[in-house]
Amino acid sequence: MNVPVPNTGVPSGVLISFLIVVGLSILLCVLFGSDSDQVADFYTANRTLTPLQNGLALAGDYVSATTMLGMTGLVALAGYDGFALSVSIVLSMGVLMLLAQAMRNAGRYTFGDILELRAAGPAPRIAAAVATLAASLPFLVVQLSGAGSTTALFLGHTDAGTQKLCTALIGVLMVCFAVLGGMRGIGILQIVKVPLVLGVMLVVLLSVFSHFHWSLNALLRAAGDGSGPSPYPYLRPGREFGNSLNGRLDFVGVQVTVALSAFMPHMIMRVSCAPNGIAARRSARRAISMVGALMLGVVLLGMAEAAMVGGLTIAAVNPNGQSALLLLSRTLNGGIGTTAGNALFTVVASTVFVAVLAAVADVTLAAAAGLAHDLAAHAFKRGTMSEAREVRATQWSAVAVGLLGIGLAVTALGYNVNFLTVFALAMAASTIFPALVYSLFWPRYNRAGLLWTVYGGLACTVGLQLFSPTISGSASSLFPQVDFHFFPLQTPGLISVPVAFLLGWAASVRGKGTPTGVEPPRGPDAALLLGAQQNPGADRGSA
Amino acid sequence: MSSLFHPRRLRAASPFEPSSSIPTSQLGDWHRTTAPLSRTFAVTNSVPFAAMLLLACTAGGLLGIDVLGQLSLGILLGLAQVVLLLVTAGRFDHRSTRAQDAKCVPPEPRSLDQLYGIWDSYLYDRESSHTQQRSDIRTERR
Repeated sequence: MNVPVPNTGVPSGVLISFLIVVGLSILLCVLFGSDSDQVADFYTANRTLTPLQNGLALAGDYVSATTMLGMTGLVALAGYDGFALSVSIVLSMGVLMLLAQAMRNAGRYTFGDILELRAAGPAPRIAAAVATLAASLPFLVVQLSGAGSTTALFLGHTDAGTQKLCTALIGVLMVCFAVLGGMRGIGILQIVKVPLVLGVMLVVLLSVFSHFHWSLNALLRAAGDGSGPSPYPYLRPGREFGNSLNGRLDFVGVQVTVALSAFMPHMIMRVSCAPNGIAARRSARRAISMVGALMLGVVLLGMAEAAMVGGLTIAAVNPNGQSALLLLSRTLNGGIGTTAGNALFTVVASTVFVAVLAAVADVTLAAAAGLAHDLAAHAFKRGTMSEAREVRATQWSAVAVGLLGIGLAVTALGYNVNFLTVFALAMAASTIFPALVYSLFWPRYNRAGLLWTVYGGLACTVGLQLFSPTISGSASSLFPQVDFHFFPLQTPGLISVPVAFLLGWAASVRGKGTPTGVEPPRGPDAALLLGAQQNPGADRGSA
Repeated sequence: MSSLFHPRRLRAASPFEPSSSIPTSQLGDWHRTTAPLSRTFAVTNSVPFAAMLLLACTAGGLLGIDVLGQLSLGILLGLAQVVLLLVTAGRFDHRSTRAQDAKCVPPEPRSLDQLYGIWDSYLYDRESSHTQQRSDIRTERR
């Protein structure tokens, strides 16, 4: 079926306003960014964020290309399945809240600092750095390639060269944010970003509801009519995953993976920014309500896209629906030809761009911290690296991670790499989450268990994903010409998460304990319950 | 308290200490009080989540029934789940804080130097050096 693809070019005024907003965000990041050589300042903004500020920043981490562009498109195209996924995203904040206090009390900055609680030496640090990179890099690649192709569309060009150029430029900006701003500069952007995104969502939704005479029923009816042909009604499960046994298992797998995926490395660093454990728990509580409001906005926007743009048009421009939000904003307030429509489109495009930039910069910084803090400063230098050198190492690592991410994202532009989002979340749920839970709550957890959890979970996730239909064997695969898949599900989380827990338990029970020979603590752990006062090292720098 | 938005020279150089402490002898009691709170929060939210997944897999048609105008049962249950999370998160936070407060030893009153240390260093650093200079001059004159 041939669907006319709308002209997506923009007037030069929109482009200038867009560039001004991007310039202002860079200025904000540099102005408030970290300028000291202190590790605590660069990684955690000296832990000066109040629970409200940290809650805003935590919620800001959820406003990425995946949520702003991908989730709205998914709701537009898949209806209930997209809605259920957004509910799981909110629930993941609840899981984070459950562990936030203990995480903050146990850790200093990174995932590796928390693992050090149960096992000393370089091996756990290397495992932490590997898990950090394994979760962060795929996430970075899919965000960058999504943002690059959408920006090219925004500029009115859909050719491969423009997409690659946009991806590379976004990547360079992302590296600048991470290197110049540190956690303080990016934190400021995240704090400003959430109210901005919520405000823009509200304005767009007011415009949408005025179009439907303030009737939710009219919007839902129009969304159902416009969502395109499907054997399943719009607000019934099955549009995305189907009704077969594998489809149902895929649905459950993705929901469970997303619900357990709040422990991405950048989220762990963000929790570390709280001044103490109680503030960390309170930050997560505040973030739940903000993420809830954001997801409600995302769902309503997705429905508005289906109603006003139409599922067929959205799929014709981008099969994954990533362009749906920009297409919707072009149609509101009389369209882009009118002043009001033009202004709304500019505001939406600029907000999305800044939101995506801040999110990817946070991911880059977390990956760089994993390399510099866990790998260089602790695994190789055994904690002898000075704070100034560690900050420099983190900045250079951010450049390296950024360049690697740009290279992979540019290469991935011709391929269907959307599975990488769920793959990154599955990686976090299968390696970081089990290791965190065991480290925080199981005194018998030891070095062997830790290494088996991380590497076992990682191998299981990579292996199952490699032989899944997302890589080969179907028209929407990464390599559609070949077929070597034997694992029937699209996401490995349903298998890899229990496997990682099982491996960690078995290896800890059969393992010989910590290499130092220190008897593991029994009963409630003072450091985890109380934090800094009983565990003075928890707040110190690395040097 | 220092803020993220303060000028650089006013930012705190070190993290803040927790405001109160629990005697180590009471850790077991406190753990026994707070652990059930976490468990209740986890169970209250995970059971409806599991039930929703089960319903979506086994009775997709039921979730697609319109209940309130065009709003389907699935959408309403999802919204109810988010509301449940918000309510239980608030209760979990309040009760955890209360449980900790009950066991807490009041913190030592902070000295004015600690409370106003940042402002002091900003306002009086130069003055103290001037004062020192003046006293040096007086000593020389004598």
